[in-house]
Amino acid sequence: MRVIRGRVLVEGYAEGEALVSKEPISFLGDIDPRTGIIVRKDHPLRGLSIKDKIFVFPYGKGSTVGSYIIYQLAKNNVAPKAILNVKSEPIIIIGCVISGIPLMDSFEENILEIVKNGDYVVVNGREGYIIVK
Amino acid sequence: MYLTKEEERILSGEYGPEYQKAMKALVKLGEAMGAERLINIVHAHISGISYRNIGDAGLEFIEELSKVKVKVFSTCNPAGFDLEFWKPLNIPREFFVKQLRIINALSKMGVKTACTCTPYYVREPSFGEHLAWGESSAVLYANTVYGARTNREGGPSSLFAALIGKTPYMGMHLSENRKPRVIVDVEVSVEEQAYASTLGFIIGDLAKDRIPYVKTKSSLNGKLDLVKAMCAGVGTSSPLPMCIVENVSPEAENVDLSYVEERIHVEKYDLEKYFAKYSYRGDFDVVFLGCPHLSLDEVVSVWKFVSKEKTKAKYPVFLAISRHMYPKIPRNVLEEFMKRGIRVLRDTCLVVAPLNKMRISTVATNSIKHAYYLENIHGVKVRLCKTLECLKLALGADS
Repeated sequence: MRVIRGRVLVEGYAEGEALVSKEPISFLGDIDPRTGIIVRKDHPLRGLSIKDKIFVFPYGKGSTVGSYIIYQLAKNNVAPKAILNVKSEPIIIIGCVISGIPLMDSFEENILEIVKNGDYVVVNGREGYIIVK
Repeated sequence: MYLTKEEERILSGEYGPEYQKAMKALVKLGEAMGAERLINIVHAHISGISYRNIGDAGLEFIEELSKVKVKVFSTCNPAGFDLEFWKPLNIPREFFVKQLRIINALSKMGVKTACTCTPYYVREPSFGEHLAWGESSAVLYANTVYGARTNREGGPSSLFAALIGKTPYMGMHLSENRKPRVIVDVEVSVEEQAYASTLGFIIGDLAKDRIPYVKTKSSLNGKLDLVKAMCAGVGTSSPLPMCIVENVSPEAENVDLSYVEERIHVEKYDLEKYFAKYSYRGDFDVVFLGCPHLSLDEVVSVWKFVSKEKTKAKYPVFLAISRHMYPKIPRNVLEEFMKRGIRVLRDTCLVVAPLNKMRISTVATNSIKHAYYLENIHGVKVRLCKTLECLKLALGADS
């Protein structure tokens, strides 16, 4: 078990299985808003769903429409339970704000190396830490 | 975050739930990013208005806000079809109706609905001006070419900023965040859009979230259409809001390189490698030029090619341009284009259109941004090729 402190961008509490993308994510193009499945052709996790996961990736990239894809995921009940980034940018932040998805970034350690696919992660986005089990 | 009394009143709901919702979200965004206050903007550009990409959730989201007006000059991104030319393109009725609801809601709010990804052709930004723009390619162009100041607003935050007339004072609005952290030496000369966009894609991939200082051995000097294509590529592969391009960006003149931590080289080999990812060979449903929307110069260069060739297009050719620029194309040019099977579309592009319903599954284009999204959102097979090659493919001359 490991506790890692980070910065809270959108408050909330969640726990669940981690899905870790080592590559940055453009929600538009990379994720299907109806199913939550990763669809980008050359993405190593293509075919897997982010639904109910603790979705971990380095940072957002690509289209500014990404925020609305996050919003649609939430409306369609296929959103991740929380998002953890190395560094978030406004597209991801505003998407999580309007969708009520807990979001944290700037951890004291490199979460891409510590958190593995399938790890059980507790996100305490009130007090600013995660627990990796 | 410090708020003025007026901002506090908006936040408390005194001006109604719509403004309150917008202010709440901007304050949350600002606080998350450590902004001290909000700053006035002169132009908001709203992305995320195509029904294809935002769906019913986005439609309802925008309609709920449409009882109130925007506070500053506001434009919006492309929609799912040309508002005056959609029937022949098999746009389904339901899609049409819902897209129009989005446009009407924006129009009611006072947004200028010249639906385009090139808002800088509608209103040119000035140096140092504060903007709140969505649309990654336009954000990059505004910061890089004009030295204007805008973050990469997400679709909803660009709309909130339009309603409030302000955005959190953070990121690109502050001089200290506009310094390059990586130098990119471009060792190959790029001469047209397809390669310029691919160069941008590579720069974004390698620079990641560090602002690049791009040295191009003068090959981009004065060629703003190529810089535009490059910006679109950078926006696709990275979260970057700006580049500093030597001899192009106003901020290149007295650039502070003291934060640079890496130097990257881009060679011809790199360009070819990325280019080859989109190498569909076969027949095409359509050839597309206009991502980002074309400038008049770009239309002229298509015209020059067309007037030399005598053939009619063997695949339909779509040129995409803003409704604002369209009237500047001479009538005889439009007529000649039509005769040759070249259609100039306003308000739209293929990425935001319902392609499956339009029976489009193979496309040739000169934009790597278009290629990336067509393939991943729509499952379309794409051939990325030079502008002239696109036209040669369509007009049947030897390539």
